[in-house]
Amino acid sequence: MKNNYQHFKFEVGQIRKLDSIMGIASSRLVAIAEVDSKDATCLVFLLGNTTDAATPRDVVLSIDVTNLPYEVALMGDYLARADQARLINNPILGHIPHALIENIRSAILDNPFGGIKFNDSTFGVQTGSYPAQKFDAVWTFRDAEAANFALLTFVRNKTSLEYAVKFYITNIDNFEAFAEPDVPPDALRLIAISQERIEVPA
Amino acid sequence: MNSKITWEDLRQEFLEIGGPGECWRSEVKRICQFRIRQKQNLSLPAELFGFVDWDAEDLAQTVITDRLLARRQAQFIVDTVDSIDHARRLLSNEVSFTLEDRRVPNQVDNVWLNLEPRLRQAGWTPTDRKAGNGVEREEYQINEIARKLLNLKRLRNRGQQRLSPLFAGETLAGFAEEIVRDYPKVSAYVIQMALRMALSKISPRMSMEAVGNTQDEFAAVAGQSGLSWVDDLDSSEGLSEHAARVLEVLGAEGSEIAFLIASGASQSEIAAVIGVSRPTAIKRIAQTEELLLKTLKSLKLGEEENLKILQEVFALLGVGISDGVMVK
Repeated sequence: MKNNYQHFKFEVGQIRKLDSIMGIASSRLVAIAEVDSKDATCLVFLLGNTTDAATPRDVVLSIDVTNLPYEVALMGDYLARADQARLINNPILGHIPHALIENIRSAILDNPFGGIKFNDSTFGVQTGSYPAQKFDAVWTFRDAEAANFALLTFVRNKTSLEYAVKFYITNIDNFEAFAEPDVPPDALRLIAISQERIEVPA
Repeated sequence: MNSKITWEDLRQEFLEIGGPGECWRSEVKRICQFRIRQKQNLSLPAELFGFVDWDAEDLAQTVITDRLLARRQAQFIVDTVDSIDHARRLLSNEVSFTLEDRRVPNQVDNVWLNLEPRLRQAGWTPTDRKAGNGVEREEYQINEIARKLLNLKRLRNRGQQRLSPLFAGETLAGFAEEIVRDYPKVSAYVIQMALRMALSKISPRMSMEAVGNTQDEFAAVAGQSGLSWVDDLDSSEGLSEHAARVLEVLGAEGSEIAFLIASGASQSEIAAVIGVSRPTAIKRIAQTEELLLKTLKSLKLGEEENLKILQEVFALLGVGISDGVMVK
């Protein structure tokens, strides 16, 4: 329960609980990999406790690295975008160094197939070694984790009306954000019609 | 009473006493009872998991001490969960992990226990994995050692005997010397991973590659194994061509099915390997057999020649015939 005063500040590497969606998906621990304040979202890695069954595409993080009281396995392929609203009410449980998160991200992107070629001697973390086999219990478990994680997260479409509305609501008190080159046109339209009309005398 | 336990009860109890208490114990015990019933239905003895008999209380205590307290998994559950169903699923996983930890050694452990002293005898000293070569080099070594292991002559399985020895002592000694000669600084981790890879369920593609896909390589392996068809192999050069053609007609899946049939795999096992349902597998097996017969007939050779070609096909697939019985 430490660092409670920092609840409202999102930083890369923070470990938090991603809230469940009642009746649809259950909560999970995640590590923040990227923060985007424009639409109040974060890219998050899924964390699990199955360190004994961590595959070569998972990174096992010791308690020294995360400051958690237990080991966790960062599931390399489970990276997706989540709303900050689902994270903000939960305390920061631990922290993964920013540089380590970046190393993991690049290792995963550089090795899209097979085991991650990742050995970070600076932080002393290693990839798992459990041989993933089709149809075994771990395979089924990971499949279920992927399905649950997909329900908790989403794929952002910057041309969608949903993104524009979110952008508009998030930045309604920050007009400077609407001057950025990548502002969604629908958000500009929303801000335009929501402002008071300026009466110009004839 | 158990059904009335809510997630809030478990959470409050954990926060009040700083760890799992009576509510947690009764919840874990309930899951253990269910899991024990499953094991009993499968007629699995408690000794398989290091228990004297199936007692839910014993198992629950082991789960609580080994997993929830020692590995702080109760804290993980409190940090992650917000419903009793989710908590029960995670606790159920903890019971599975406990049973897995206590399971008696499997065939990988068995082979390793027999291989390690022979490795040391051959002059091998365990090296630190971190001090060894890079990941790519490790992967290469694992694949190579697994391939060599798969090419070793195996002993016949002794019926239902658990952990029936896979390799004769002499074979393992030769294998140990080969490892020490080819990879003097290999780590124990790499050898164990190779054992696991070779002895675990083998995917279709791997089994085809692991056995060796060139005639020379196979002949070299076969020459050591003393199988009965080896004498005829070199005398008929046309055989290998015919066999290669038959395999070409069968395709990757057909070859795999032929290999599995020859290895004595059941229809369900074949279905699992090729990733289809059992009824579909039965159809594919029938199709493969029909295709094989049709291809052999099209060669318009005598029965004896056909048999030799069939033997050659099995040889290419990694199956031999010893004393009139097909062996892997």
